[in-house]
Amino acid sequence: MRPDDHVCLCFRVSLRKLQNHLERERPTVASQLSECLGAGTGCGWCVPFLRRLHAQHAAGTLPALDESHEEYARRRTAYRAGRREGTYDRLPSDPMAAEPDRSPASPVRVPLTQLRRGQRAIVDCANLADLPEGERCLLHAMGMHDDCQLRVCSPGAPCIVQIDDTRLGISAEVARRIMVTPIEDGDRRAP
Amino acid sequence: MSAGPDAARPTPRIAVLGNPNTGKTTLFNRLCGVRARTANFPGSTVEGRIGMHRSPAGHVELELVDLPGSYSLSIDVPEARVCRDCLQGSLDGVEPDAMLVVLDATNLRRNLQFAAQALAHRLPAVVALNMWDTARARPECVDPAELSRRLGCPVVPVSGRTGEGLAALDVALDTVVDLPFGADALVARLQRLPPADATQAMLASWADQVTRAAAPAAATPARDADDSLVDRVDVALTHPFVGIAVFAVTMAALFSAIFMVASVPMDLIDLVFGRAAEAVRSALPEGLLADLLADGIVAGIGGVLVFLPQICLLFFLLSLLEDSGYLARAAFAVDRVMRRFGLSGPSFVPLLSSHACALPGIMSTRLIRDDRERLATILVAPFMSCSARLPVYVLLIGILSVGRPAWFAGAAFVACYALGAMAGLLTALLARRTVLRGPARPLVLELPPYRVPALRNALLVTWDRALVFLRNAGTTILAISVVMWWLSAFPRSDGPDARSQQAGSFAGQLGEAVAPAFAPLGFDSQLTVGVLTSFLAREVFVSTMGVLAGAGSDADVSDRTVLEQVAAMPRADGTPVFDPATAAAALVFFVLAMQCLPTLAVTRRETGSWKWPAIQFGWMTLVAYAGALVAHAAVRAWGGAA
Ligand SMILES: Nc1nc2c(ncn2[C@@H]2O[C@H](COP(=O)(O)OP(=O)(O)O)[C@@H](O)[C@H]2O)c(=O)[nH]1
Ligand code: FES
Ligand SMILES: [Mg+2]
Repeated sequence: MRPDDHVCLCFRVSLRKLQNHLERERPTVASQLSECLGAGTGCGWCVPFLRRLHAQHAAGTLPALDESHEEYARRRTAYRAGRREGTYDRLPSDPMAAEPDRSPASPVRVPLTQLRRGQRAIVDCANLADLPEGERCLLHAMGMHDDCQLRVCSPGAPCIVQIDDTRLGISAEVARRIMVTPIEDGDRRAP
Repeated sequence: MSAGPDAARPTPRIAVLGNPNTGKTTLFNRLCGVRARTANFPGSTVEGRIGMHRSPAGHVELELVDLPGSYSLSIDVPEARVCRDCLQGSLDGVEPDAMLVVLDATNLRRNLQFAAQALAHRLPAVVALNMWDTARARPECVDPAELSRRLGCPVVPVSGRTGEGLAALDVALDTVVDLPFGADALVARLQRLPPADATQAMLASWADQVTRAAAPAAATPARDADDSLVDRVDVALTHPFVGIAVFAVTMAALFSAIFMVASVPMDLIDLVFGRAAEAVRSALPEGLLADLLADGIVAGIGGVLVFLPQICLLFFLLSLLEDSGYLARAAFAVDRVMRRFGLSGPSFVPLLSSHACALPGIMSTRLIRDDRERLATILVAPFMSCSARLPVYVLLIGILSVGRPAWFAGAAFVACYALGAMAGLLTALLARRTVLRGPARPLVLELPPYRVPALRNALLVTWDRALVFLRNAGTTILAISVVMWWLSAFPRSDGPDARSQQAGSFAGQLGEAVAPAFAPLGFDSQLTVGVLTSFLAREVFVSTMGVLAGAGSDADVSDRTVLEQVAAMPRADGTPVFDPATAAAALVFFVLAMQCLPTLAVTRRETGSWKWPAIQFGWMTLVAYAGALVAHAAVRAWGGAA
């Protein structure tokens, strides 16, 4: 993996940033790496790798990962796909993945496409990491960022949502990847 | 450090920027009116406008640059690049002296994220809090004074729609370009903003904080009651069936309106220029000069202006539709269908416009964000049956349907349009799989609020488009007309009639030389001349054939219409030129061929290289030839069997 490759794909934290953070802050436990731009607090995939980097630094070597980035990203996608289908529920036991709201085990997280018209929800953009960079940035800039609140105007895939006073039309392939936590009737899943 | 106007550059430049749909253009139009021109920024497909403004009270003239709207300054899309370049002065070498950041007061939180990025630049700034007419009425209205304190620059509530607040804006702009902008002012401002490398999440939380402070009531969620009505309308307009049906009806209405309304000024232009040509002829002694002026220049100018009514109407109506908020919904609704062909929702309108004329169609592809998709759309736009093909269809279908049931002609017309559209869409699919391969961009589209469209904006857009067309395409079309006249007028023959002139001219000689290539389609040398001249502009076909047919038979010419004359045209061996197989082949050829030099010129302009017009021309000619060959063989076989 090259220094500019992202180790934490959810929060786009590069290897270089982590190296610098380790050098500057000298964290005593691996979980403190989450202070570096939230690394490891998304899907949790990168947590074992963050631990490895921390251990390398503690041992006095330059933290590095020898996996190719493509392979790394591919395995993460598989990990997340498996988790979505429930075949992979071994969750990272590391404290840094324990942020309650985003806990991957949280039962109420559903794809945006499952909400009903008028329903409100809190957005989690973690799964958008496989979108092309440009699209993801655009979506963020249009107002669709982590923890923002949206309201469904036209349900399904594609769908229309409203964030503040902005209405966004979102095509099916993007909408399916946006995970949300409903805040109204949150316990009753839409059919 | 930029410090207001200096002697060398008397007009200070002000960059106008903001999110899309915040009313930048409306405000710009208010300030500059027609004292503005469209500016094509080097190396970019997006365009902006540059205009001059003098405030009634102030004495300084200001140069305003209306930049394309962008959701963020840090993302890698053309609009953001243009904005960044402009702020840094690398756009056209002129560094702006100040910026006018336009914010939508009814959607403050998102707009503030953009403002933070813009204000981080080292330029004096004024923030215009636009849409004040709407925002003021809301309970969660923002307090401009508090916002100004939070942003560290003047904040002026204005309405581009009603014009309120413009006087205050003038004062703010005058002041800001007059006063020196020191490092301390910048530092004071930067202290209030998020750090320069802030992530979108940090920008969002900063914007949230500022919104809470400046508009305490805005933190509450949006109003449900009126939203639910808009929701219902949105659901309907983007429904896979209802939405597409509504779109089809809207577009059908739009184009019938264009056809009907534009035909009046078009006929008028034809008439006026026909008269003018006659007048020129009678005023000048017979000879070359008269020919050049009448057939080359006057006819050429007429040939340019005749496109103008359609172009103006199309852009006027489209601008109204876009302003109303409907067009974004329509693009969203047709996205699914267009995706099958490697295109997306925003490609639909340009392709549809191309049924009127490919020129405005290609010019309106700027709405398409993805570069490859835009190129694919430009590439296939001329396949759509434009109105210039109509006279040719009338002629050839007229010939084909002699002695056939009445429904035949109608069906043939529909088949021509369908053939062109299918060829275009399949070509798009092919291009997206080969030369323009690339991921289909997932569509994320802002659906702006429904609004009553602003007439003033629409008129200025129309004015702008007309000027762009005249300046760029117009000059090319005129040049082509003169060349075409020259080709058919030289070398001068001593023959008594137009026919011998045609045959002896360069165009005629060329026809003779190229005829073998068209022989498999059943074209004789006369028809080949007709087809060749129509490569410059297809409407010419009918008049060329008319000249050839009329000149060929001296008897009772005046009793027969051009159509009848052409239908009865004999070959050299006396058999009719247009046997059914040949007429069908010619028809298919005209549906599919790229016979419009102005379109090639516009393609060149919009794509910035000759590569795309060359591909367009080569491919369409190939497809047309193959199609015509198949049609000729098929009709032969069918006729033989019958
Ligand atoms: N109510 C209201 N509408 C406005 C105002 N300014 C612009 N609009 C409308 O907002 C829409 C977008 O305006 P436009 O100038 O094209 O925005 P731009 O994309 O930022 O250039 C148009 O429908 C305008 O009519 C305003 O001050 N008040
Ligand atoms: S990759 Fe780091 S949390 Fe998902
Ligand atoms: Mg604009």
